[in-house]
Amino acid sequence: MRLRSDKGLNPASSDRKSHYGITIRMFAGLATMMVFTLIVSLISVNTFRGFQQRFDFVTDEGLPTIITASELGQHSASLVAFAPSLLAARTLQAKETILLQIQDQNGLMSRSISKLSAVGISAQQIEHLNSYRRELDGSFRELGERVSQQIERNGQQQRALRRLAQFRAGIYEQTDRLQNAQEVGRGLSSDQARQLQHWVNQFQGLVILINETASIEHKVILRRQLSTYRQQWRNLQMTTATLPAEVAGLLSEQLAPVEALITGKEGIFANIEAQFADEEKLYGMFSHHRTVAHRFRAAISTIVKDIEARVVQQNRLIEEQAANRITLLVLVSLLCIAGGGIIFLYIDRSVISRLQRLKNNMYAHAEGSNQPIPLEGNDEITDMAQALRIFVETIQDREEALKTTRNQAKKAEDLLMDAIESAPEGFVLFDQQDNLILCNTQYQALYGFSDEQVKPGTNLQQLLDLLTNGQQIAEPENYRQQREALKEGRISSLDLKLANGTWLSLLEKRTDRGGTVGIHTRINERKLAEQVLRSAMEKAEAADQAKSKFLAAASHDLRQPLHAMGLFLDELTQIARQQDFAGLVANINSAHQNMSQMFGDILDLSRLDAGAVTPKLQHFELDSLLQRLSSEFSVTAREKGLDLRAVSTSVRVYSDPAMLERILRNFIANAVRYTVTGRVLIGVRRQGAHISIEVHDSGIGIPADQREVIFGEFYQCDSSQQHGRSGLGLGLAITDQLARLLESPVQLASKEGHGSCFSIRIPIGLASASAGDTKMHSGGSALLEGQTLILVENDPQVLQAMSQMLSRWGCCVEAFYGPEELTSQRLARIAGPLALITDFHLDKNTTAEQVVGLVRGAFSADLPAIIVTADTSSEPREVAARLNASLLTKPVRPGKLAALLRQLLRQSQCSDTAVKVL
Amino acid sequence: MMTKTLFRLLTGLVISVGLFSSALQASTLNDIRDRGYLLCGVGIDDFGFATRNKQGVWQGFDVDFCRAVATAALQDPEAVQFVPLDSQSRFRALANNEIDLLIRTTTWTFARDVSLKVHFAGTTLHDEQVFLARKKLNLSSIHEVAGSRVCVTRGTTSLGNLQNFIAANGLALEVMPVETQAGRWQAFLQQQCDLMTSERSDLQGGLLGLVDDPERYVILPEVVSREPLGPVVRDDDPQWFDLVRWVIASTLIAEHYQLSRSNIEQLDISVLAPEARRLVTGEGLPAEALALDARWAFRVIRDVGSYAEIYARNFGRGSGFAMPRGKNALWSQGGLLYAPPLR
Repeated sequence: MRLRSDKGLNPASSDRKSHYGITIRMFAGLATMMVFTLIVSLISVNTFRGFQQRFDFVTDEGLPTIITASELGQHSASLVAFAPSLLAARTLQAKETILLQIQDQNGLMSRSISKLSAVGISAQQIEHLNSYRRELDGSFRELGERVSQQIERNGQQQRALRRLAQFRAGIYEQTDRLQNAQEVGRGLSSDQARQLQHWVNQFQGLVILINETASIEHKVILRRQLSTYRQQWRNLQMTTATLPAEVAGLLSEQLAPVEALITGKEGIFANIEAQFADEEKLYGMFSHHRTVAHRFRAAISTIVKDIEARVVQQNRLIEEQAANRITLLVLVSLLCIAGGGIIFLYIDRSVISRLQRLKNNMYAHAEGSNQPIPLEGNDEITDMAQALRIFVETIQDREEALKTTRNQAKKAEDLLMDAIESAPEGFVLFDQQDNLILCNTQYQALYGFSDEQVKPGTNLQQLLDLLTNGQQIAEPENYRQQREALKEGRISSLDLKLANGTWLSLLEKRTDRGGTVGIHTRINERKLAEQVLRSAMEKAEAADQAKSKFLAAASHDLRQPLHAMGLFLDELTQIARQQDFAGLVANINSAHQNMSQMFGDILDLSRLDAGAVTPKLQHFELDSLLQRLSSEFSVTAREKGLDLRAVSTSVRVYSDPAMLERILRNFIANAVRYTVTGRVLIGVRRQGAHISIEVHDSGIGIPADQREVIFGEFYQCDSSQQHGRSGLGLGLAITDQLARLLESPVQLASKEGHGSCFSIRIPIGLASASAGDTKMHSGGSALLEGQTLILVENDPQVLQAMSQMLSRWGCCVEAFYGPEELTSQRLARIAGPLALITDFHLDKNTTAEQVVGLVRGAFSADLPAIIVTADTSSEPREVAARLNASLLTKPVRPGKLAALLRQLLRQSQCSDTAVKVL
Repeated sequence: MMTKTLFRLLTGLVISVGLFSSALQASTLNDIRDRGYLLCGVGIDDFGFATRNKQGVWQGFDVDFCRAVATAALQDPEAVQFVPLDSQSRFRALANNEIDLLIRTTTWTFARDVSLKVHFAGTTLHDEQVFLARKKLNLSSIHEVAGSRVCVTRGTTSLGNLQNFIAANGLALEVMPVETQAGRWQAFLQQQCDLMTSERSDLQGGLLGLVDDPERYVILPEVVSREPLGPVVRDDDPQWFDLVRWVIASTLIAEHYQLSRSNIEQLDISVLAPEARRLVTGEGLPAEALALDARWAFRVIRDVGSYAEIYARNFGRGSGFAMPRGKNALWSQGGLLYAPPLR
């Protein structure tokens, strides 16, 4: 899982930089579409221009060219058509008119031809056409001339024929004259007359012949006609010769011009011949003209066709171009559409469908199916997919972690459940409202609950009801209270006996969440063992108690005389002060003190062992304690030639002054004891919120291997014998116990042969006005004078000793020997006692408690009580605590008692002051 | 005058009797002689065959043969009235006596010979039908055409030949019949048709005379048909038929003996071959059977020339046609032209 998460995260961090693929693609697509549109627009414009060009060509060039060409064709056709009409012209005017029209056509054609140059016909071709045109023009002129000539000749012919007719008329007139009567009388014989008639006939034949010539269609016929004419003419001449000379002369004279008219150079025959020749030439010319015209038309039609072809070609070219352009336009449009489609498809494929897929993928992932995320491409969607992948993977990782955790939890739960199930103890868990959360079968089995009864959610009370009503509990009446106590923590465990005799141990513990967990253990065996153990214990305890009782009794019994001895020795010392045996008394006193000390040590240790000591912590000034100790030990020190000194300090500490004093006393005592030369220094070292009280000496020192053991009981230094007076070796053991009780660690620093330093670390106390207390405490017993004390003691020695000592302090002592002396009459005579001092063990019937109650009943409930006892068991301590009384252990040292009394006095004064103030 | 009138009456009577007595026995020769000239049907602007020069003088291959007949029959090569005819009206003109003789690039075919009451008096030119195409079409063979239109003159053998040829060769040609020869040329020149078919001589003549730019056209190598061209006469006058046939033969014989216009008058007759001598002198030949004098052939050669001269004048190098003789060589030269013996 870790690996996958790494794998997932590394590319994620590197791929988290954005891509711009789709943006680029979008812009590229847009740009492509724009380019397409631009291309289409350009092609459209181009196509439109093509159309326009075509239209322009058709209007500007094509049409005019074709019009010109067709004009030319028309002109040439009409020009050719003029020829026959020219041939048909019979008058000069008609001919002239036609020629003028031809000239017009010629001019028009000339212009048409010149126009051709404007439409791309080469100059050479135009010259060619013009040469044809000129040739045609020339042939027209020639035709015209020939026609003129023909008309001329026709006129000549007509004139000649008219003249011939005139001549004929003249000749007929002549012959008629000759033939009439008078003429006949002139001498013409009948033969002659006949001959003349014959001549006239012949002449008539000639004239007819001549007139016939007008209808001759072929020159061959003309030639034949001419020879006929010549023959007839010869015949006529011959006939003329037969006539009389004058007649012949006359007729010959008449015939001469005729002959000239007919056969002369310009005669009728010559004229007709010339006409044939002319006609031949005319037709030749016409034919030639026709040929030229034909060629001209052919040339023109070629040119026209060429032009048409060119125009058509050009048109087709433009059409093709236009068609191509349109095709191109359509193609490009289709291409654009296709391109647009492709772009759309591309965008659809590369963006939309991928987004769709991604969306579906997201849904799928949301629905929990683990489809692979499409990661193709290298763009924003990929980024998104990447992000999704990271998201999914993170979720998956978390899910997996969760699952693992859940599994682990489940496993743990299973394990736990298994453990709970397999635990021999009954396990049950309730929530804050004491509703059942779970329990194991063991629990069920212990109480015989059915599955239904231990459904989760069942309230504890219901279960308890079941148990108490079902008589499953041996002592149902106490059960609920016990459970209540257990629940509230008043008892830590509950041992329960069921009706079937099974013992159960109930342990309940509040969980952090306020629920309750309960462990119900079957403890039959333990109970059994416990019973065994208890009996053993009882035996041991009995033995211990016997020992303690013995010790207590022994100490009690020993203390009483020791106590009394001390009191007596004090008295004795006072008395023997000025006597010779004062020294002896002092030695006895000293021995007694030693013994008392040792005995005190044993008792103290036994008390400490018994746990009967509780520290009473208070704030106080340390200096007075130190000075007191210093002055106390300075005598002994001076005797040994040691310099003992306590460094003065102003610090206040928080501790039990008595315990601390005891500890320090031990330290100093040891220091003085084990130091031969040099000095002992008591100093205070401040360590933050604590101070360390140190006792330095220049003694023998403690070997490193013995630094632990010295705190053991009855330890004796090897060399202790050399140092004279020795104790029981309990000092440091007591010190250690006390220090433990004070929670103030004792430290030891030592260098063998050079000295040691014992120190104790105690907290610094608060500054308060108790400085005076200690002073008062230390200020002797003067204040106790006049104070009334009630003393109850059933040991006459102790009673006497105590009374003497208290009286010496100036106190007014009301001594009662045993409780039976405590009568109300006696008590009533006592006024304002300071305190009650009573022994713990008075007699078999009366306890200290009763004594205190009795006295307090006589005076006030808060009358201070001091219980003095030699019993080191816990009982006197408990009783003292219950009665709010002070406890002193025998042998009571007078100083201690004085200090206690002074304290009581101070307290009473304070309360008095307080009362006064109030 | 009386005698003349009487003569005319008699002549009219004779003619009418003659007409009555036998439709078969018409005398064309007499008619011609009476008329004084020969009516010869020729083509219109038929280049190489019948055209008029600038001076109005008729020229051409067909014209020359008309003149030969005229000079044989009328002793005057000028005694001819040329009657220009288009291809469709030519046989009608002959049948209607509008002409005496038809020499108008007319192909001798069976149908014409047997159904039109005409006789083909021989072959003056062995022609062939070919195609004329614009060079622009870039054709080297008629088989390369596709969807082209071909112009052909109606009433000619060319049309039938063409249809047969198209059918036979499966050509994709559209036939466009045109009424006249001139119209065909015009249609062709105006590019209403891409191709034109006719006799080679006709196409070449047209290129020479009618076309402004002959170099833009090409004659394709395929030959559609054989076209024997010759003079046609009515079939009612065997004498006239024979006359025409032998006039043509005389030109061939003259060529065979290398007689020509230039040498005929200065000939030493004694050195001539007998047949040549007979040709020149007419000795021993029954010319009267044709109602001709003995010198008819001499006149033909003197006034018109031998076949070689006629051919050279009209189709030879100087003419612009520059057509090789080819099949139109004498039998002795490996050609098809053949004359029966003159004896």
